[in-house]
Amino acid sequence: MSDWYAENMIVGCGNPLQTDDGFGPAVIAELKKISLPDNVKVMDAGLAGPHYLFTLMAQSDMPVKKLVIIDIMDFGGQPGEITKATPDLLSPGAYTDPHSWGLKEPLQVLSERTEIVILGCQPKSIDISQIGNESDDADFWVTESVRKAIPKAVQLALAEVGVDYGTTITSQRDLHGESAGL
Amino acid sequence: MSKVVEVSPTTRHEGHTKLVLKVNDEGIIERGDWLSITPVRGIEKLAIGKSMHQAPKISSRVCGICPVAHTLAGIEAMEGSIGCEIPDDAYLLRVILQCANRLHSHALHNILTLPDMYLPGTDTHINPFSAEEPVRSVALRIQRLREIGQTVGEIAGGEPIHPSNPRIGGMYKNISPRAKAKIYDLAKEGAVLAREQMDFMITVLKDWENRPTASVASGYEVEKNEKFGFHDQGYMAVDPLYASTNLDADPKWYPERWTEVRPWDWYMGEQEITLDDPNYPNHATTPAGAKAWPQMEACTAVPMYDGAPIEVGPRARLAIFRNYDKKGAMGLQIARQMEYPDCLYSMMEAVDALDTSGSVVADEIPQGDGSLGWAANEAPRGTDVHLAKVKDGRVQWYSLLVPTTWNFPVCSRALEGAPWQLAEVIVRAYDPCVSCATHMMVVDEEKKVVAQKLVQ
Repeated sequence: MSDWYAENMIVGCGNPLQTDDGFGPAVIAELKKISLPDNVKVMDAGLAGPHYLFTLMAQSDMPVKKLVIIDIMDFGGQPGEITKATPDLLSPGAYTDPHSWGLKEPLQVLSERTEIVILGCQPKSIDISQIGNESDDADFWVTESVRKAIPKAVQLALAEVGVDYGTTITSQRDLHGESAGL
Repeated sequence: MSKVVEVSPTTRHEGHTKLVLKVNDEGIIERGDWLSITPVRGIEKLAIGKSMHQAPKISSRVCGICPVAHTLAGIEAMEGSIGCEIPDDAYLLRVILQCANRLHSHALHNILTLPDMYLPGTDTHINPFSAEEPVRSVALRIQRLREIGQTVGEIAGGEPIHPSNPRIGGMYKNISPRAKAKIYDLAKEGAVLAREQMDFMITVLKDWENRPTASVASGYEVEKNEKFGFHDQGYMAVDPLYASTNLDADPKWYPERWTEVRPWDWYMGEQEITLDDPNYPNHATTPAGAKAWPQMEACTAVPMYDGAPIEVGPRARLAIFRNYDKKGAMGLQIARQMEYPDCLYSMMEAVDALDTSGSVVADEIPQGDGSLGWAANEAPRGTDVHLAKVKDGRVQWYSLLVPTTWNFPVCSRALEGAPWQLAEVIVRAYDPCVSCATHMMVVDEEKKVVAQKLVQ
């Protein structure tokens, strides 16, 4: 049975047509293969996180306790490195979308009622994917270095919502600079 | 003598556009060009050679607002090419998904519209994020309608934003009896809210229409005129709610009536900006002395139906199927609100008819012989036409004619006669969704491709 919200939500953002921008949806595709507790919901928000999700969550009658966002983030690391951030790291005005309504700082507004963690992966390329035909079932075309970061992002996201996935990784320490797939 | 003013970027819609307007001494638009400046994404090229199952997933990512319409139109264009009929229960699930998508989209558009409108009986613009009543209750109602749309969409579509359940040949999974009951309950709740929201919005829109002056959200008041947002173009719609494809016994869209022209042949040539206004909201007017060149800057081809631009969307649907005849920008806005109840009642009818134990995948899925298939989906903003040729399971050719592409030239004509300061109000009435409209292909009289503007 589907409910729009869960106590803990893991949301992947990005566009798979733009190479490593598909990292978030690719991680969600992996998470969907795992049986998860009822209080955890994973969602591929694709291109529409702010419009479809964050503004709705901010006014929901069913507050989300924790939101884990998986996206790419340019923090100057090596491609595939993952860092952890919170909305307060985003400077005022970091979200600039003059074509939307008053979505000035959607995550900051939401963070007043929901704990938000952002798992950001350093991309190698966000160009339009030169998608090949090597596999019929391929939906994501991230670069090799970022593809290697997917399992780690899965582990980190599950750790954030308290799901023991049989790993020793803790999400409490500073992840900045850790390499993917190690 | 005419002056030229440019509003760039336009705001409160999806994608990047601008307005290049020739205005007279009174500030009335004599000629308006509304054009997409969003880079072309080349979706059609990305799909060529792919499995037919991949192509709709690719088109789902064209933009973040209309993934449902693109998924369904993409899948049904492939099905149209390979000649695959789907089971009735799969069709019903798709109809439910369509209703959910339209409900959410119309509610979202209300938020984009309301800042231009006034609280009836006052001169106060509506701030949909205000904590004050009565606006707060309206905002909560809009949010609940969006939640209902997204929840139903997730149940029927598998994913709430980029639906994963639709597939070529039908749907991957039917829903459970419990999920069916939940959709019905949500639709009943939504039907009450939707009617209230429709009534509220129509009151607000008519109030705006009856005012002698108006402004965009944070702007200054200018005098209006009676015929605001009128045009003389026709309407195109294939169904009040869902779609038509080439597999229908009586198809409602005709590819031979469609042609495209280059933006070079349709938009204005190079212009010098001779009017700007630092007091315009968001400082969005381009400084005088700059240049604009719409025919070079526009990212979309200009589609024609029977040789002329044509309006698609809520008013087109109501005009063709329900004899609706209210013109102008507010006529389009009011038509959109009138579609609210149908989203819920059609959802209830479809879920009531759904057999949750019925098969939702075709017994046989042909691999295609390269025949042309098309699907015209009545997306929230209008007819979303996808055309495809599939051979041996691979996409040979794919083309998207999305709603805002159809509406760009019509809306441009509708700008004429309006005060330039209110041009954005007309644009927003069309609920533009621009990113997916960046399709650019030019064909000659024999439909042969003569030029393409590929990924930039």
